[in-house]
Amino acid sequence: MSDTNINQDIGQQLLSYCKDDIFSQDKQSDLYGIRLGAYELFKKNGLPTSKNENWKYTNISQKLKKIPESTSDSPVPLNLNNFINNFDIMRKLKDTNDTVLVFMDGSLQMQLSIIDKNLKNIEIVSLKNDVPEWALEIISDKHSENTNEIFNLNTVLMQDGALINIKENNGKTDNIYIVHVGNNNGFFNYRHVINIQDSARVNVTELKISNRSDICALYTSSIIWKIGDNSIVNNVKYQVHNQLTVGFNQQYADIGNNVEFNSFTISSGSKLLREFRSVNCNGSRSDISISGINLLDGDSHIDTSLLVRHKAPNTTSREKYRSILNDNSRGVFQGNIIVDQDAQKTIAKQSIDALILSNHAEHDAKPELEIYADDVQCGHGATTGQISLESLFYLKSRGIPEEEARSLLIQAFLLEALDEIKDRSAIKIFGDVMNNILNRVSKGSLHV
Amino acid sequence: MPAVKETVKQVDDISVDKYKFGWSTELETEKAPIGLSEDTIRFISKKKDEPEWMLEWRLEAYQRFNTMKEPNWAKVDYPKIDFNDIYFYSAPKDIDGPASLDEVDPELLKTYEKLGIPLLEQELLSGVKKNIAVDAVFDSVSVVTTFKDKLSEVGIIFCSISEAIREHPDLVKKYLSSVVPKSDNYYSALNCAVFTDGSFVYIPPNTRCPMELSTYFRINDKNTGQFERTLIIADKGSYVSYLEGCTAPQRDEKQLHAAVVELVALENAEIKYSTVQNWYPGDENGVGGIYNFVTKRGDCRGKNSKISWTQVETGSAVTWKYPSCILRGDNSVGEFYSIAISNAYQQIDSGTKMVHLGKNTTSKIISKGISAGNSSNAYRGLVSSHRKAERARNFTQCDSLLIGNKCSAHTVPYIDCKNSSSIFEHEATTSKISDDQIFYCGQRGIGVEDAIALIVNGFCKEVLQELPMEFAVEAQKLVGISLEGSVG
Repeated sequence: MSDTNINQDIGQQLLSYCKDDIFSQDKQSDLYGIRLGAYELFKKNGLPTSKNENWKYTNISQKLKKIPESTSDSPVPLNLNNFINNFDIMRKLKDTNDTVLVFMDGSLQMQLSIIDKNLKNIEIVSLKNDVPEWALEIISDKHSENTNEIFNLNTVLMQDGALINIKENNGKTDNIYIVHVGNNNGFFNYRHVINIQDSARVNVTELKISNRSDICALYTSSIIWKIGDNSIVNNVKYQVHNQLTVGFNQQYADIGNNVEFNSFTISSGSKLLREFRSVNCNGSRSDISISGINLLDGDSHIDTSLLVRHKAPNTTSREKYRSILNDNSRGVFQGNIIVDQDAQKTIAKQSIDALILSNHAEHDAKPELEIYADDVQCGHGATTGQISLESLFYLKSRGIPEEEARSLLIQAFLLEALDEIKDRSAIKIFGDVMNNILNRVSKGSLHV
Repeated sequence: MPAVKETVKQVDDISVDKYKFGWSTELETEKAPIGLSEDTIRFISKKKDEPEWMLEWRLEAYQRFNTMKEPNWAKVDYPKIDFNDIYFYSAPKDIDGPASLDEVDPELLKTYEKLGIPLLEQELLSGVKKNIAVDAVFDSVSVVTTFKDKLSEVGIIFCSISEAIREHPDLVKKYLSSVVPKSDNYYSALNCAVFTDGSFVYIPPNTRCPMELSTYFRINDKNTGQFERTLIIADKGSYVSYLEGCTAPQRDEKQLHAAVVELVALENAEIKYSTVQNWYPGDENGVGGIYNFVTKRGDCRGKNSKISWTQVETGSAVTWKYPSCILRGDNSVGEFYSIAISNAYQQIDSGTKMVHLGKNTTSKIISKGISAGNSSNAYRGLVSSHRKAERARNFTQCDSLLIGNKCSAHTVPYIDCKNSSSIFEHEATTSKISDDQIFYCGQRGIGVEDAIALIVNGFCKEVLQELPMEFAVEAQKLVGISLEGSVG
């Protein structure tokens, strides 16, 4: 009882954390005004509670009691070779000869990253350094139109991030990997800005991984995409957190004309993970896919909230989500498709399916449609259920052992969503990690 | 296809005046003092000759109401209601219990004639030899209940709720507000405090109600609110089908309608509740119309019970209505069939709740939303299963049809699944009437408006066929009329 902080709720703790942080910021910095504005908003609105319709199914204060104290038990590896020895995935990434950015506990580690200086069409700057004009513009635009509480929190506290500017590269596709490693306890905040200019082609793959199962991390991250006309962007995100991590991800994308944007997220673990993804189709003839799979076990709580807004005519969007829930986990899906009055000829499809493997798991879905144009085709489907006993019997009667049959059916269930991943190269690198998790979740071994 | 031909003809017939129930009847009425206060409630209670416990019950609800806030989560937008500008009680004078129709004010009878749902409807539907017992509620008071004697022969109680409070207090005490608690929501609390009349039905065990029961509601007087309360109890092994119809005259002001309907189905009982709601929707510029804020809920209390809601919503300026089923008994079944049509500046936020609590409970939701003009039409529904609701099963289908590019359609389903053996499926689509369809009809000599009525009727067919015969014809007509003027 001596520490008064323990009695404060998490909203107040975060507010005083922000207050301390904002006073320690450099007042001359370009971002200071934006940070201060966001701080005022956060102070005014506080953390969202479950009375807020967008947070109906996710109660932050239940899952997060206090901000974890920073520790530094695991030092940052000194060089790349050192890192590769401890982190096998890095070896595979090095072999691809692509750009790899490594973040440790929210900070960009240049000595561990692989950046080809000869690549003229890609500009990479750390948010810690001077923020270039184009990035500042994107950040302040997003800030002025945004009222999201977690985004404001992230704006106040963002400590680092990658600002990436990609130009057209003679029709060639560039690959960029962004690896986040959770090494220590603590509270981390980072922000990426990815500006893709007209006609560029790029694959951006993210990996977020907890290096140890006993570290307790809280993080907020935002990624802002600005995608120019005629470009093709494939984005895959793998999130392999331990059972103690609490994370808040925000993804914003503004999309121009005739763009192909595929964004896929695979999430697992986490005590609480909120995945907010908002896409604005500002240009016509664009095709987007916002999909993913969630693998939940233990006490995990993963909340996926999507907001797809069609603002221009002739755009198509697909949202395909598959979740597998075991043990005491809880999955939440909220998806909203808005079709503006001008967005005639929109085709929007949403499907959300959940497979519940344990009687203690829960899945809540709220797929919404808001349609203001008449010449559109919009639809959504949502199902929750268990493994079909008939299918299981069918496989067993053909001599396949029950466990194997179950795992076959689970894989088949995920397959349809996995088809949405257009960039297959990443699957080779991260496939093993995902298979291990899938095996763990299917068996439900993690009785916490 | 006689039914379709019929519809097209009906649309033709009535194309002159759009809202055919727009007249008002000059009747002498008796009103409570304007505004909402404890005195108003005492006045109503006294007028109704209510026992002391009922007055206390009302006052308690009023106190709860005072502590509550108006809900604002629905996708509807209307100016704040001034409860001090509404008459909470308005009764046609001279209502000393007419024993038969002959004793009723001839002016009133004329009213019913104009309605197109006359009290003796069975004569109109030649070929269908079926009796319908009607309870007509005029403004706030039940005027006449037909076929009462015939029903009481088999032990069925069908009367106005005020009569039930006086004559069957035990039943009323036991079941009233057992499904919708007094403080359930803002409007249900208001209804508890000021409800003036409504219907009461009790079906004794192992009885199949020999005829369709029906209530007809009409708001007639100016500035009055209608607050009716319906309570239907189907005892073990019984069955009842109940119809509800509503209309109101054309007026420039907005009028309030806040009803509560409670259904209780005990073991093996079945209740089928059908509504054709055609309150005055306001004119094409959104002036006038009824605020329709209704709480409807059915409780499948016993094993193997079933409650089925069917609704055709074409009227009202603002609708806020979620007929729900609480599937408490094992193996109980809940159904919801809905057509919601909005035109001009109408706003509809309607849907259902299926709460699965018992084992092997199943539910089915079919919702068809049609929006035209500048209207907004939202489906909002909840399907949830409790941890212990093993093998709960739900199927939901909600389709929206948009006519014109100024209207909007929304779908907001909530699907909460708390156990692994439940299977919930939800699908929703949004589309428009394609030019090909209109062209095809045009080629065959069917005008645009008729073609739309035809196509919409086809779109709604799944729901229309759930309606009792008597209502199906009327509903088909309404579908056509409601969409008039939606293509320009």
